[in-house]
Amino acid sequence: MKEFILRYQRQIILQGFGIEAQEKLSKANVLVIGVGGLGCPILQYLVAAGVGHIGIVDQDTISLPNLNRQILFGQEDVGKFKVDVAAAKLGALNNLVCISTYKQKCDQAFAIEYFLNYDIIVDATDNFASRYLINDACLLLNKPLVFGAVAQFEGQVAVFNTEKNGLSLSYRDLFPMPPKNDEVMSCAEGGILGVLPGIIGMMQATEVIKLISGVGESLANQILTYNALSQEMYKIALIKNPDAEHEVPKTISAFATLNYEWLCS
Amino acid sequence: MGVEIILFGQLTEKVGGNHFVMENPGNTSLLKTQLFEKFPALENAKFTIAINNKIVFENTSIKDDDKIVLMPPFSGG
Repeated sequence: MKEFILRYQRQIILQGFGIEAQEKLSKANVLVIGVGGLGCPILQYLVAAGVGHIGIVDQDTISLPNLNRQILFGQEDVGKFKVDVAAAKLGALNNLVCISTYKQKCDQAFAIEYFLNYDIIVDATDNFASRYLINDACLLLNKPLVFGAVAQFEGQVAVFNTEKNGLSLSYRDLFPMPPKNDEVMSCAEGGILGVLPGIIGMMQATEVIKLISGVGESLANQILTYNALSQEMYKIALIKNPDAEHEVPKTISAFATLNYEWLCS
Repeated sequence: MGVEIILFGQLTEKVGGNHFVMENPGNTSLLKTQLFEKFPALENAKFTIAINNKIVFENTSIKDDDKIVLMPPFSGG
């Protein structure tokens, strides 16, 4: 207990935070999907903050071009599986936190099997098929979703499927349908400034901590946009999109059979 | 008296900048018509419109000095 208090002392003494918030963090279960540019800082800070149980999902191995931004990894880690290296480093960072690893893709079967074990889902993926799948799963399974996405020098952060002032919105309320495959460049195609997913990832981690602890005001029903080149940020209020309703699968079996890869091609 | 148009992401490439002022088109349908005429590459782009930091979907009237944001989806992570 003494170690717990001492480790988290700097946040426990914060006005409005306290031991109550810290205990909420230690009882929380958060699933982070993707251990890339966003996932690495998200995981480091959630682990450091003392979120009690964190699941990490990623099927990939580490490659050299990852290293400008995926800061859990170094050159000795190239070729190893991301979840394995991440779990080891995060364990060394905070041995009071329990880490579960899933060396697999977050597909429909995974979502249906595992999302219910977690309180909050964090989208740290890098493609639209995954993002729409995760969004729809969170809607069906009633899970808050902390969203973040980046492109070149800009980022977006949002909190979905979390009721605030009687309104709960999803990613589909913002973009009911994904863009065509060649419309939006990936990080590999368009490039990405390494600090950018660091900043956006940390904003996501901040929202997770706020949701769990109840401190501050969550970004629910808003999207925050950030531009690294100008340091400009906008908070934009979201509204219900009449088209969103038609696009979301209404049942688990409809969700299970929807072809998200085709949807985004 | 005009309106400020702010663009995010790859929309800036289709327009040649991230920010400009134009004469008030009156509403968001006319805004799109005029933007697509001037910047044909925008017509196939996916984006959501916000007026004064609030998303709009239906055809919405625009007042002078309104700030309009065109926001595309991002997927990177």
